[in-house]
Amino acid sequence: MTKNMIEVRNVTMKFRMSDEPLNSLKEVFTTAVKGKLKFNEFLALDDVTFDLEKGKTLGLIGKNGAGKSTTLKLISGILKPTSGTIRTYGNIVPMLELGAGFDLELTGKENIYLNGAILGYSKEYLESKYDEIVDFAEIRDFIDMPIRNYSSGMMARLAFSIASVVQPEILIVDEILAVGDVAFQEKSFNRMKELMSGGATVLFVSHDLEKIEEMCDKVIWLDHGKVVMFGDTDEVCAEYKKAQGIKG
Amino acid sequence: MTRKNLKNVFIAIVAIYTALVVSFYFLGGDQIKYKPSDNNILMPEANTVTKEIISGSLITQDFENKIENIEQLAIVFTKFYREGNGSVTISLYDGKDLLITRKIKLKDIPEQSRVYLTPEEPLTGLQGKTLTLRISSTSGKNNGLAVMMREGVEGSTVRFNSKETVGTLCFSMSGFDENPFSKYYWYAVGTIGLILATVFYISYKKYLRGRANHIVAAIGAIYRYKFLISQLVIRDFKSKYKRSILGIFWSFLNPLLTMTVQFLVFSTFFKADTQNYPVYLLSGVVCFSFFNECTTMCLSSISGNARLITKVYIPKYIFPLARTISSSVNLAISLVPLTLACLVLGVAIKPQALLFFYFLACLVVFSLGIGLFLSALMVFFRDIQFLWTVLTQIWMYATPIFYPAEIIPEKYRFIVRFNPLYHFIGNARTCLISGVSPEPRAYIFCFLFAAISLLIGAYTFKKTQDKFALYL
Repeated sequence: MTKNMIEVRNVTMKFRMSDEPLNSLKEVFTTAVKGKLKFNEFLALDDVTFDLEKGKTLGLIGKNGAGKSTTLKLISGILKPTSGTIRTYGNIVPMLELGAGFDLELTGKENIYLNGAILGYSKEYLESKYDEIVDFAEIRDFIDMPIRNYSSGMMARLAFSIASVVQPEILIVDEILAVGDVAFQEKSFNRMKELMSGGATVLFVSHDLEKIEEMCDKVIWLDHGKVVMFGDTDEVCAEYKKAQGIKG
Repeated sequence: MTRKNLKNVFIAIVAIYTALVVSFYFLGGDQIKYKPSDNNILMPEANTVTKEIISGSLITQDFENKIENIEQLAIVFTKFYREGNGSVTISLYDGKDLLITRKIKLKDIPEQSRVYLTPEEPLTGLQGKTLTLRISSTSGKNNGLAVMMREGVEGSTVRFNSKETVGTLCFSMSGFDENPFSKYYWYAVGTIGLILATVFYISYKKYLRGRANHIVAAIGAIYRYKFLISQLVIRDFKSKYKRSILGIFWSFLNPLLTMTVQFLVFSTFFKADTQNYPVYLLSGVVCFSFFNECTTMCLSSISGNARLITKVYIPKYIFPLARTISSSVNLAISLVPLTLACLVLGVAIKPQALLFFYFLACLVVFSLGIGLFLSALMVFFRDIQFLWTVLTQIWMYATPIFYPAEIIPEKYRFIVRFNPLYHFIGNARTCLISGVSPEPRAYIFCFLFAAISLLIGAYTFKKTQDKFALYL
């Protein structure tokens, strides 16, 4: 039996949402005094359970607000579930938003080290991969320039290069395959495939069913926080299309 | 982190601890071994005087001594503003043994103020004994010499020749006792050292057997995230001074400029009361600026990195910790102008100045605790950032930074005693400017302030950190 890399057991995630945004002490105080401090509970995930084996790629599909991103954030450790347990085995590289840790005042080089450190790379590792990152992003001429002068394409390329230089055991991807121009998109798509074929266990969110069908071994279909279906890609995608067709 | 690393870390911590407690014992010096006696005899307020002292008069008073080492005796005479001639002899006896005596000419006796008797070496071994104060004179008549006294003090008798009066002469006696702290110092630090070593040994054994434990996990986290922390600290510095011409030089200039401004404003008020006022001021400014900068930077450390926290998993305490470290680096840089000021303004830097760093360390830990607390609070209540600006203002004026602590009236002094910054800054100054160690209590107080702040901060942070991502 192959080893499970991710185990999600009965995970429920509730968000407390107040009717009005209460962002200050005064507001909370005054509403509390008035007795109007109520929170609506929003169930983002409801009793979700699944496992993912080593080396498999799992696609998450569903409408906006179905709980896909929440699931990725929970597995990355960014959020803690309200109840239930999540176990992961191995280092996780989340590609939820690339370049989240960029500092515009710093140069490209400084940002490679900063962002690499944020993603958990060691200094030695970054030093050995530095040239690879710069070459892949095609920004060698601008590397000592503060990145506030970069174009958005350059920044996205740099971010992708840093995030994808590592060979992760668990890779979490949220719709980021389209960065840069057409040529770079192709390059990055190939890099993603390389990572996935390199034995990484992948979680993948996309609205692009074609990509899901191309890349994933298994698919989870989420709707309003509940697992509608979990199984092989063909089956789930067929059902999903059917449901969309009926509703649409 | 490897097994060897862990072992080295443990050995290093124990070695550093040993080095610190040994050097502390020697740097602390007499301030650690002795403390001002609690049994000093205070000068009573006079309500009368003795009869005139003439040739052949003998005044004696017996009293019980509880001071271990007597340093000084003082007695107050009056001459009714006459010049006088002849002399008076003041002596202190233990039964029949003369302990100390002083013969003083009448014209040298100040009117109604203290005449001192100071033994060359402190008088020891007199604890619990009844001592006798004797005053005799060769002054003849009409010199008007008398000792100030307080009549009606029960349990005490003044004998003038053979006439006895209930009351006491106006005299005081002071000295120092051995500090019980120093007697147990080696036992205490030895016990703590042993506990430390045992805990490390046990967790090392546990680690070898593959069991989880907090200490190993904490050291592992430091190993794992030290690169990230260093990057964040570098980032803070680079983005702070980016596009400024003087760059990091501002870290030197800032405290000096603040000090200069405050010096120009306040020197006329407080200069006279304070030993080396510019250094007093600068050390206060450096410490308080650190506290202010560190807590303010920590305050926004979580909310300012919201984008990161909601997109990548990093232990969240890293952010306030990194901010505290960058502020500490800034503090270290601003110690350079402080040292320069000491050298230029003639403060003799003694080895005891090293104890300064103990209080700085307490200040850093204290600020980290406050910073953790504030950063967590800031996520839920954004108002705290405005509130904190006001609070630090109040805190600054409530702390003796540009004014000497002595100007606070005695009845409000207790408020200052609850102010941790007063202790950190005050004791740090004692080490630096006076070159002596504060009393041992000060170390314990400062340690407790720092530890309590860190505990409260860390606890609040830990309890709330899982909710950060939801509110950011």
